[in-house]
Amino acid sequence: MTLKNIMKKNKEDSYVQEVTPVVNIRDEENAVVLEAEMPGLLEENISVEVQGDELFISGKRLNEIPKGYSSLYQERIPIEYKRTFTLGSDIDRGNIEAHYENGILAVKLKRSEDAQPRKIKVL
Amino acid sequence: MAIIKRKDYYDPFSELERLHDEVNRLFDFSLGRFPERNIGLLERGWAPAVDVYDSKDNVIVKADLPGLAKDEIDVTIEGNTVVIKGEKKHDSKVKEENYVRTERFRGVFHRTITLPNGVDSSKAKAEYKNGTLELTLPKKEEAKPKQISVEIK
Repeated sequence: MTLKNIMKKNKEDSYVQEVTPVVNIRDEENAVVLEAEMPGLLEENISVEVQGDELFISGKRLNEIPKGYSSLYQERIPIEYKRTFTLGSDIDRGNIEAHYENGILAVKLKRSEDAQPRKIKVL
Repeated sequence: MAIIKRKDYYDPFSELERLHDEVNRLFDFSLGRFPERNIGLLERGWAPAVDVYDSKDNVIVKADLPGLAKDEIDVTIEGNTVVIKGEKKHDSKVKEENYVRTERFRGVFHRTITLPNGVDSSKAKAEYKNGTLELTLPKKEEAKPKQISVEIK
């Protein structure tokens, strides 16, 4: 890669702002649900990954000006949402569901069978 | 023509605020359960980020409104002013005590946008998709640029 290309790439990268999305986390009976605000993304640009004890969510949005239009005012800048979470030992790594609706990425982390509360009868 | 001020890409205060948030997160110090008590360096409430695009015939307004239902967004057009308002609520199906962390803003928001020229509100279209509201506002006839041919004698 020539120096010119490196500089060009750096310029492109610096244009995209890294943002930590705000999240709500709720505790359900047998799962933990995480809701992250990531508006205006296309589903194919969202990624949810688990590596060891870490859950990594990300999504990229390039803001393209509609064809035939010029921009008067622009606050919705190109953004890359990124956030990492540490998973508890009770979370089943292989049973994670993600769903994107109305700009909210919801990740459902199910607790593994043996970690779920069990009622023990007192004799 | 346009009275709207362009926001700088690198607002030093927003950078400071981000650092403040990051440090709070690092120490898990933020009063995440009580967002109304979680006051930033400069408390600003919440308002959606907005884009305005202009063409010969239309003006497009885009606003980021994550997690709302279609009927919770209220758009009013008067002359060359567009008002977007609504209320961000938590899912009513979820019990309040189930939340262990709430960083998402909750409450009433309001944003007024001044357009460079008048639009025909009767022909305005609104679409809400993936958390982004898109308004397509046709310009009024008299606001459209016209070509006048001048005869030179």
